[in-house]
Amino acid sequence: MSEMDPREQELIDRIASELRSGVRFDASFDRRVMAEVRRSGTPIRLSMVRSARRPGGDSWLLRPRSFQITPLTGLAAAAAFAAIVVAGSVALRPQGEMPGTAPVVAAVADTPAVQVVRFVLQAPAASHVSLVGDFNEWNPAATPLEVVASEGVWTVSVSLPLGRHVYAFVVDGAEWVPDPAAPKALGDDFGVPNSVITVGGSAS
Amino acid sequence: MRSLILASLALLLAGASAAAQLDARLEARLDARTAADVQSHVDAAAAAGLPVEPLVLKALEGASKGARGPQIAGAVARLHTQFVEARGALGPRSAAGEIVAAASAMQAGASAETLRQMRAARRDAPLTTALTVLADLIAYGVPVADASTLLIELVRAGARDDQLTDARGSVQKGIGAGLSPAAAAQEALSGPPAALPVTPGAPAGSRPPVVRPPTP
Repeated sequence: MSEMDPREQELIDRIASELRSGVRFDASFDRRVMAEVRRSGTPIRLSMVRSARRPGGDSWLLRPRSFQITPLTGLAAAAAFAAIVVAGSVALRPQGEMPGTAPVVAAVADTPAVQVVRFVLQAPAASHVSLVGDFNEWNPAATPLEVVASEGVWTVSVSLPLGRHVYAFVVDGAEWVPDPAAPKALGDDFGVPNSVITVGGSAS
Repeated sequence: MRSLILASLALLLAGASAAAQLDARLEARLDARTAADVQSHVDAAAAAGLPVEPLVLKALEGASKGARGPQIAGAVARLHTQFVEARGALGPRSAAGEIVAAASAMQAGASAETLRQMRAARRDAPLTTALTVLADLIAYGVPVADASTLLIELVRAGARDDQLTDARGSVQKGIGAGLSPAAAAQEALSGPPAALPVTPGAPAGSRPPVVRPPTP
């Protein structure tokens, strides 16, 4: 691959930084929420009003109904919602990551033994990019990347079991490209270098 | 040499066994001869209680990369031999994960002697993480001798797996900050002993990590 243009590098750094940034609340957030809860004191009433009435009577589904939520329950629901938002947006640096656009562990796991890893490659001239590795039997058709906007930044998130994984990108079905931001796997057997990522500590 | 003989014997035994069933993935993506060659290694590894899936994946990697049949069979044979050597160094009761991690470390340049010393230092707990960290440090560019010495020392000192992965993270940060891999390893692992506390209840004879700076 040719040398990366500094402007392209800057762009991809910005995007990667945005992808990794977490949702931040200012220091007074908790204080303000609690003050509001104490101030309101009364249950919060939420109404679901049907959006359209049908002639001939109400169906169960369209009947207006109310829910009562205590301030404490409301706060708990808000906290749960905030946690979901944060979990969905925080991107932690994985073990094995190098600066730049290295794969990031998205901190969302179906099981403790699996982590979701986001892979990113900048390839402005590519029309198709796929991820291949020991986790998808090196099948170029298994894990295509999606282009982000029109900047030629390709990305995909993959659930990976804990452990050390070897991988590469395939550009336009022919060009094998190691991840420029991840360590190279040593001991390549086929003259096409791979990259390596270790998810978690390792598999035991 | 001994490992090669053992691998060959295992191969012969596997070949003599009942007609082996060809892995469907090999059949689909390799020519018949290469698939049969690879399958013979898979069967031999299975018969010897060694991991087999990495052998299949190695063959599939070669197929996807367009490698020729003999090249693929050769790569699988090398990996098979590394598994045999890794278990020889780690002991017959080694777990599959340890063997795979040890093979990665050996592929990166670590010696069988390093593996033996690590096993001697930690007999009753898995070495998978330690071996993975060793392979990773070498992949980051830490000289093999330095990485090997450091991991042996840390395991001898009773460092827990999470401490080993923390050390690896520190090396990464150091490299990211512009240090050379060797200097980053030295920086990360020459911190105060408190940074790498010995596991509570560690076996008698455990001592705080002895940090030996990597050779320049």
